[in-house]
Amino acid sequence: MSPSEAMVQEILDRSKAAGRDKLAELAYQMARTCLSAAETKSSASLRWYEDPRDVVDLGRDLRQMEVRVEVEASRADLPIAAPTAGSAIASARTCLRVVSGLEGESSRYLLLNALLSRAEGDLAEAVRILASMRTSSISRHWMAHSQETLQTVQLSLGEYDEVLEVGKSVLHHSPGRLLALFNMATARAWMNDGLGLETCCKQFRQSDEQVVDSEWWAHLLSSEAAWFANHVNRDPTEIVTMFGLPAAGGGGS
Amino acid sequence: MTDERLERIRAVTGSDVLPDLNALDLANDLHVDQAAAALLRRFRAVDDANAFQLLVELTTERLAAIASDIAVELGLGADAFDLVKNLFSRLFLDLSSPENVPLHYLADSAEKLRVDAETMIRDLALGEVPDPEEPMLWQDGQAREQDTEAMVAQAARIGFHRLDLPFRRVLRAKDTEGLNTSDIAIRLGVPFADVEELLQSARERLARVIDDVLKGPSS
Repeated sequence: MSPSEAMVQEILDRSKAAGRDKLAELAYQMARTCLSAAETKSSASLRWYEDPRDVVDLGRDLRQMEVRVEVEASRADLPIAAPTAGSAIASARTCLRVVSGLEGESSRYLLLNALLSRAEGDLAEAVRILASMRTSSISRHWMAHSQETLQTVQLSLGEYDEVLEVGKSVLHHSPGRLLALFNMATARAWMNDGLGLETCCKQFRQSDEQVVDSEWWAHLLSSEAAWFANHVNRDPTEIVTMFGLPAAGGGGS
Repeated sequence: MTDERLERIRAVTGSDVLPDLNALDLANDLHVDQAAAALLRRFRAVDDANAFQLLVELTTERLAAIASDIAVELGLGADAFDLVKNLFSRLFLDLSSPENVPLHYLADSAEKLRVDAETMIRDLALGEVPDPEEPMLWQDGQAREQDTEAMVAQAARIGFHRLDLPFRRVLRAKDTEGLNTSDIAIRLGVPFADVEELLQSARERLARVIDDVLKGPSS
């Protein structure tokens, strides 16, 4: 191979690798959208930092990228319209197969598989997968992400002590993770432990992550303040302040 | 007799590119622009990997030469070919309409290569190293309350330049330029899923370095 041909090949390989990575990410996002559709409002426990993208837009991008990287990843089975609550889980499973076909049992795949198990009601399987991620050699970001998800499953199971243990482990490796702290605060509230909640909130306020500037957090905390207040006999405005948000309104930036 | 490359372009694009010619001259900018526009349009319209491959085959050497010239002109100490690889990766992932294909492919690419080279130079922080004579705001023992912000800003600036290159690059891409995860992944040549990890590590490292800067040299 001449130097010129080697350059061309290097570019094509790099571009296709970027395309496969993008394809896996699109499939992951589509599964997220499906999972959101599967969740009823009263059971909503998935907390995405960004709203899931529209499945039609994602499907268009995904199919285009499939053609470009010359991968046929269950193209026919992927949803072509916003999934109904009844079909959402099956559609998300299809997306999971796409992710698996592209990158095997990656961190993205394992997390998605756990989320699907939870959505299907198999909480034990979700816990098993997420707990296995704690011992595998995955990146710190995915480790924190998976363990925060494990906390939310444990909250559903009423395993509040375990939520605190997992949270400590997350904070040991990734100090100041807001979601881990929030989950710990939620566990403390379920335990009617006002002092424990205060400690969590103090850590939350002192985190380096930008809570006051985050509209997402401001919205979540304001909407959950009454729930927290009810569990620890406090005023909702006090709860908002404890988490470090302005007491009046708490509407974010 | 029409040359083989021109025939391939016409076959792949299904259009009569450069209809008055029998041969493609890759040193002629007009030829390259028209061929590239036809191939990019085809690629974006039907995601034809053959069109992309032909575009890469026909224009890599020209773009590598342009990137090399820019690197020399700007004094870029990194591999100029990385700029070309990034440029093509972006083209490959670009899902915009075929109507948006640049009419002047070479000029448009040269502009993008230059912007990327300038960004890389900033990342390398050439010529941006803080002045060693600059007085440290927090070391005169007299820092007032209102100096705190300037003090931290100075420490952050100094701390930033002490970070390893990948950390500087990801912080600049995210926090200064506001690029999304996908664009950062392409620029840095890392998988999409690794960007958040890198960003988190960079921020933690920067926080520690700022802390060290503020504490000053240990006695």
